[in-house]
Amino acid sequence: MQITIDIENSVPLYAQLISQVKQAVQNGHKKPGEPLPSIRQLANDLNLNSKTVAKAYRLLERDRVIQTRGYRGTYVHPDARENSLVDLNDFVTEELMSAISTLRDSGATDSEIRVAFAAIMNSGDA
Amino acid sequence: MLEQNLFSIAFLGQILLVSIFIPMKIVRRMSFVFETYPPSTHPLLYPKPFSHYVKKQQRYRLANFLIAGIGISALLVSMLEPRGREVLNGMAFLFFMIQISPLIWIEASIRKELKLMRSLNPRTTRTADLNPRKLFDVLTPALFWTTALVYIAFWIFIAWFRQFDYPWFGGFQNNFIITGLNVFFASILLWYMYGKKLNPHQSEDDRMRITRSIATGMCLVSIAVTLYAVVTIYLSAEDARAFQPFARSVYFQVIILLSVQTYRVDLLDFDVYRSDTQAACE
Repeated sequence: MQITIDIENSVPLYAQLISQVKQAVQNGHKKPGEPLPSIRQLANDLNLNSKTVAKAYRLLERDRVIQTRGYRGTYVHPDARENSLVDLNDFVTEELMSAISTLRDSGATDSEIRVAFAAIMNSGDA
Repeated sequence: MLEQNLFSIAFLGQILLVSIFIPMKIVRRMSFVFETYPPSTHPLLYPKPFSHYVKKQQRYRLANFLIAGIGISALLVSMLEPRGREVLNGMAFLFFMIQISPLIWIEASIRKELKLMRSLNPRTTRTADLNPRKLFDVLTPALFWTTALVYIAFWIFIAWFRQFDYPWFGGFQNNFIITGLNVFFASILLWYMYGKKLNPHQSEDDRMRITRSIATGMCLVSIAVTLYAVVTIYLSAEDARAFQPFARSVYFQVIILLSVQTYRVDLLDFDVYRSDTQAACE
């Protein structure tokens, strides 16, 4: 099973990796319990910074698509197929749109929403 | 006299094998690639003008013929001049290093070519296999365990040999040398398995094929080096040091035979070196 990334694509490299791994799981090319390459192997094969691959693996682990079993390596999560269908990006977009819509209905301007959003994100409380 | 005749035969074999037979094999391989996958159909294979590669092939062939000529001349002199024999016996290792220098030069220039290939790579996509590489993907368990057993047997042999008080015997120093060599081989293998992809166009199957060939070669060399160490110690103990130049020459030949990669070049995927527009047209 091969994965391909495009370094000139506007989609971030880690996001391309996440999407390719999820696709492999959904297509059945990678089954639950099957091993995945180490971060170092994948980073060297794709000629990427290992931090990029580590970020993709971290997010896939958070989404329970993969699981790390200590020194034994990284494996496909037993519930990976169902979990790979959940797209947190879509969820975040929907939630934000709903919040923005509520704020607009209550009279807040786009500029005020932007300033407040930036302040919350920068404060680190979010 | 017997040992000198044996050495002369072995030395002639060393000249023929290392400076004629193996270089001719490599030159034939190069010619096969040049003719079957020319720059017109496989432009990505040649980051420099084609004439550069043809010149390099000619120089490689010439260097080997010159070295073979020097070797045969030295052998003839040693057969006619008694003092020449001693000199030749002592120079066998140096001559072997000279013999393999064209091969090292070719290997070093391949590294440079790959670096250039990476910098000129026009493709924006990169592929990788989603399966982890394991040791036994590149090495048969039988060969791995045989290598390990030979290594353990060497430790036992040295421990047993220490009971004899030979002043020349290095004791466990021998084990450290063999261990160092095996660690070096292991690190090269790890680098080939998990290291950066040197050839940006190489397919995963080809990478595995080449890594398998290197891993097998290194295991066989490790066994050969260990056995050679045992033979050298045995010959010294039996006061048969005069046979050592013969044993050394045979050992060099075995090492070079095992080290030169054995994968079949015609099985490699050369379609990866076509330009994308050519590949799309076909």
